[in-house]
Amino acid sequence: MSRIAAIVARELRSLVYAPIAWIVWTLFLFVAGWFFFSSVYQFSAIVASYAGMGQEGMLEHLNLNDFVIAGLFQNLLVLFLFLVPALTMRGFADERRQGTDELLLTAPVTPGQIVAGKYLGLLAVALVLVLAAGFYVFLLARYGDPETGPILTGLLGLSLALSALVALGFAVSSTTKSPVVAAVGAFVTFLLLFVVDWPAESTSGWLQTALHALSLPGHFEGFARGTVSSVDVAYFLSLVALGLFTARTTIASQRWR
Amino acid sequence: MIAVRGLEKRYGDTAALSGVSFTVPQGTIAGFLGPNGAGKTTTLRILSTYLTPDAGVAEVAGFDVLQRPMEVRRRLGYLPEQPPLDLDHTVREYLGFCAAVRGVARARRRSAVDAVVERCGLSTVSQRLIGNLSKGFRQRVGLAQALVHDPEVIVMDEPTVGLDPQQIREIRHLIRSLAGERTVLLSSHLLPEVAMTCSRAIIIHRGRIAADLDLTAETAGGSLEDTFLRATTMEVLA
Repeated sequence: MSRIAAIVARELRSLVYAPIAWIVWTLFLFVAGWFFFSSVYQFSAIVASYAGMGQEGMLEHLNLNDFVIAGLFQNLLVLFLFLVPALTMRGFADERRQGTDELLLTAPVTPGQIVAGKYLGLLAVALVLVLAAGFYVFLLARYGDPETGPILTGLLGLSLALSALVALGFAVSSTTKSPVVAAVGAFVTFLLLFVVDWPAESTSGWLQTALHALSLPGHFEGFARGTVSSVDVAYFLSLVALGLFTARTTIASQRWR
Repeated sequence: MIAVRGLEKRYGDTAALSGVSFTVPQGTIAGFLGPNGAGKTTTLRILSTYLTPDAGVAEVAGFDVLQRPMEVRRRLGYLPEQPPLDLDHTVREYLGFCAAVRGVARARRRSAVDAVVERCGLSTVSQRLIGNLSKGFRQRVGLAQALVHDPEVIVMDEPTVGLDPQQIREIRHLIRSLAGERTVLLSSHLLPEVAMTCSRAIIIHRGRIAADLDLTAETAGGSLEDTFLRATTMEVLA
């Protein structure tokens, strides 16, 4: 246990010193802030125009949750598509490039412990993004009165999606020696999960079901709207398991080249 | 001790090792000598459990590298050819991590790092980032990570390569100070290196052991040179 903790601490130090963590956090705050500002601004403009036209009754149908928060969460999910590869690209690829894999793989730790430690370190840095997103939404709650339920489920959904993307990004990074290849590979993998259900509407039967079942935004939508379904939770946890298992297997097999 | 019997390793069509056997008894500092590409790094990587052999047996401190790799790793200090350094960490942070991951108990970690910092002459740079250190200091940090958990067996791949004469002397001195209970195997392609630090010389050539000499019995460095040249040019002349 203390060995995993040592690997987590080292991973956190590397990410913060590198300083990839700061770059990802800053870019996220900047872009997420822009998303937030523009949707709040649009919302207030619409409210003002209805009020100006003397149609206060219409305001009943405008909902802060649907209009601002659900959209914000879905935009943040797209932002992860770009930021997570930057975070995970060094993953194990950079250990190989620097030769530090030789330190980890000759220390009395199992490949499973290496993967667990590095994954938890990466995840901790990634989950700061959810805290940041929570801060924006907290501002809304301070000055408006959104429903709390959909906010909490949205933040849970973002956390699950990040857990899955970080695991997959790390798995891609475990297959190569080049962080650039790892970043591109992770980005393409994520992109496929985002677009896989595009042809679904023109298909039918099992194929349509399968395409919908694989889609990452499809499983996120419920969280953004305030519902938690066990199928969606299972989807993200399966991706975590798949990513970590792939990474562990790849790293364990390296010895047998 | 280190015991190797009939070790074989191929990379695709190239045979890196074809039946390497030798033993290094406990308390011995042995030099693993051979020209570039002879199979030194491959052998050391197998001993460190970083790679697996295709055939043969390798034991470190009485444990088989294939059957009991974790037991081997607990007892082994390993300095790879390229020191595995975290360049963006300070010397102290890095050595603290190495101690922790090798299982030094939390309470003893600080004193273990202090001891190895002192021993490897890193006191003046212990708070600096490794990436900002000179090559000589980096090599010493590499050596320090191999010693921080006080291992029974130490394996070093070209520990003095790329250093200036003054630094080579310091590292040599450090290695000699390890003698005693510990078993040390260091590789080199330089004769004087081995002659000055080791009591045994194992000469490897084209993936085979060409000679195994007791240097305490040899009187002069010249005879080692003769043996080395004879061993490594044998096939060319034949």
